[in-house]
Amino acid sequence: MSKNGKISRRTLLGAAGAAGGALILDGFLGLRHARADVVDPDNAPLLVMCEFASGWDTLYCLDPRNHQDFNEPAGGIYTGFDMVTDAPTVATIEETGGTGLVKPVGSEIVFGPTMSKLGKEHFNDLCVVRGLNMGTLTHEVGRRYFLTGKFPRGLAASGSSLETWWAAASGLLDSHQIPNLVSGGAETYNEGLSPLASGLSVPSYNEMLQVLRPLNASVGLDGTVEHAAAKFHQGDYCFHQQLNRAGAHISTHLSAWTSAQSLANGGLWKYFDFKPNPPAGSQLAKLYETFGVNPSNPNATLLGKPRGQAALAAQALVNRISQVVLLRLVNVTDAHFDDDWPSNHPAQQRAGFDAVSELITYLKNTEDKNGKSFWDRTTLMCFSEFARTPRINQQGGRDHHLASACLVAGKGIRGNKVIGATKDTNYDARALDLVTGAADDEMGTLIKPSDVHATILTAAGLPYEHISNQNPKIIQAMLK
Amino acid sequence: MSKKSLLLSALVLMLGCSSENPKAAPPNETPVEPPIVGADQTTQNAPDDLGGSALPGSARGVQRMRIDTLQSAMTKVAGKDIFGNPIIWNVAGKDGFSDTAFGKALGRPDFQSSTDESPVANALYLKFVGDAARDICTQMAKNDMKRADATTRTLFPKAPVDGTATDAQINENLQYLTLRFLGLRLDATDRLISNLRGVYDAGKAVVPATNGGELTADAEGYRGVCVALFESPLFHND
Repeated sequence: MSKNGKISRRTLLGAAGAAGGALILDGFLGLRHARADVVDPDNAPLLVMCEFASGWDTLYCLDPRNHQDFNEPAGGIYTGFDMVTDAPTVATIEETGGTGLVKPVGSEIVFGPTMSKLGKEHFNDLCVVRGLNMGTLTHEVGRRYFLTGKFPRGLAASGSSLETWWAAASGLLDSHQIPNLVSGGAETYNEGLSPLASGLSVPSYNEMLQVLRPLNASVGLDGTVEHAAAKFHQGDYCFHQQLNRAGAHISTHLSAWTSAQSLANGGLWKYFDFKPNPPAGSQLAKLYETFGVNPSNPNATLLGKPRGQAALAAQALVNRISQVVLLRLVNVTDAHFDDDWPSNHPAQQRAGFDAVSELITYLKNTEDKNGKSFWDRTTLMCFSEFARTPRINQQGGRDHHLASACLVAGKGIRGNKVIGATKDTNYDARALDLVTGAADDEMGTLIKPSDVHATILTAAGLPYEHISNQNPKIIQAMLK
Repeated sequence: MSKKSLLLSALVLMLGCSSENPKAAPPNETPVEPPIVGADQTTQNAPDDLGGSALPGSARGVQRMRIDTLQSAMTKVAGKDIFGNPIIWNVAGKDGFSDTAFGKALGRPDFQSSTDESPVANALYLKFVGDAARDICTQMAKNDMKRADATTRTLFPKAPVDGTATDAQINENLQYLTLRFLGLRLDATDRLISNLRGVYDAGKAVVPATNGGELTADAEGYRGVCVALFESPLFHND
């Protein structure tokens, strides 16, 4: 029952349906393609968002303290570096003479012990934002605040997530087959934007393979049947009209259906088939080399690991499949207890930051059709829902803390730069001068995730008027 | 199924749809209104400390089934094989909807890292629905081919599939299928039925080259209809 050479018809049908659907939806929903200044898809601003889920301990990474000065368990801030059991993190702490502070030569940024690889390899590109006021200690709220830049409605996300807005605002939805790729279980939201900008969620590259090709070609339908089925689905029936009145349900469904059809019959799956022993000099061999993959057993390094998520993002971006990628890169563990905080938490952080470092390296070393590095037009943001308390609790872990941090890099962002600070007394967020980025406790401004969103959108030449409930401010010090 | 049928029937009665069923809506019937936000029957703004923007309009947000519901619905519609076992989406010997196959990929929460499901049908969801539909419909057609008693069939009980079916029988079977899959009791002249007939005719026309001899041309036509109905937005919206 498989098709005999007629599969291209289905593909064409899917593509035609998607294009037609987009036009219909655009008119039907009155969609906002906020700005379409960028018309060359090979010059599109790219975005990678990396979520470190469960609330990260920023003392380990973005906002560390010298253990020799902050080693009193009863003090306001206690690094606890002497309690760490994760061997590589312990080794880094020892390499730094027990301070736990990693400051590569030439770097203006001091990194924590889980960021040594990323800090050493890319400090010139990185902008660390400290003292971010999250305004919540609830996982779902903090996560959705950072995803959308808008404070949630109760627990529910408010507005679209950043990567969805980015894809829609760029006006290049038709130039990418999966404009918005979401992986690892990250949440993605689309409120009022084109359905084509909605994230395609996959747990990992393995499922991406399943998405991009028919599971069982022997039970496929002939192209003429697919064509007739498309006509059946697109019919302007009474029931469709009624359901559309309740919120464009049919339009959204059919848009997704046409995407599914064209995806399943294309050849994109090859880019995510991380097979053993690729030919020397091939793009896959280069990917394996950058990500430290054992060519004879790629899954051992990639499957279920942050490196696998980063490799998925790399392939989607450099092959112009996606413009924006949102990764739940790693679950750093909600480290309230001593069975997580000294061991699993730093190990997970390190794995996540190492993968980020390799992704940046790969994007830097890969050129687009214009002969420019992909990194030149990529924006990176690493975030978590909040930080963890500066003191160890009675269970040997750390609880939730309001003042967090984030890592930003890429197009239009000033590298080798620290923005903001936290207090040495109790790790609270400090106000900062938006122009210099330095702490200014008297005249400064407390910054929030919405300010970071507005700033990186500005750096990429995109609007941010969707952040409607936050009064976002541009952090000039972050911009080149 | 009966619940869905009742709901859709009620919608037709209350809202009507003048282009296809002008007599369905009584003129004085009060139209269905969504729940009202605010005492003055207008959408209110959120408190300033929550941002102050307009609250979202009240509307049903569900655009697809939960994975557990989808699994149950497809299995229920598919019926049983000739041995009395339920027909399920078979992926390498496992139920395709199980967590050991594609349940997690489809978004079923594990209540460790996730606790809720997306209410929106995205490309991933519909791609797997398409895979499941093609597998299940093939099983349905093959099992029906082995059933001598037409009344026990699930996919074509109302029309023979040996090339002798009349137009009336084919349409009756399509009406039966829209009732079985979508909970819709439609007239034979309804445009939805005529478009479904197009799917059937297309499948019937190509079968000699593609079915390997296990299905007749008519059965292949109904297999295409089956897939189209499983993929229909009306199957997934409730």
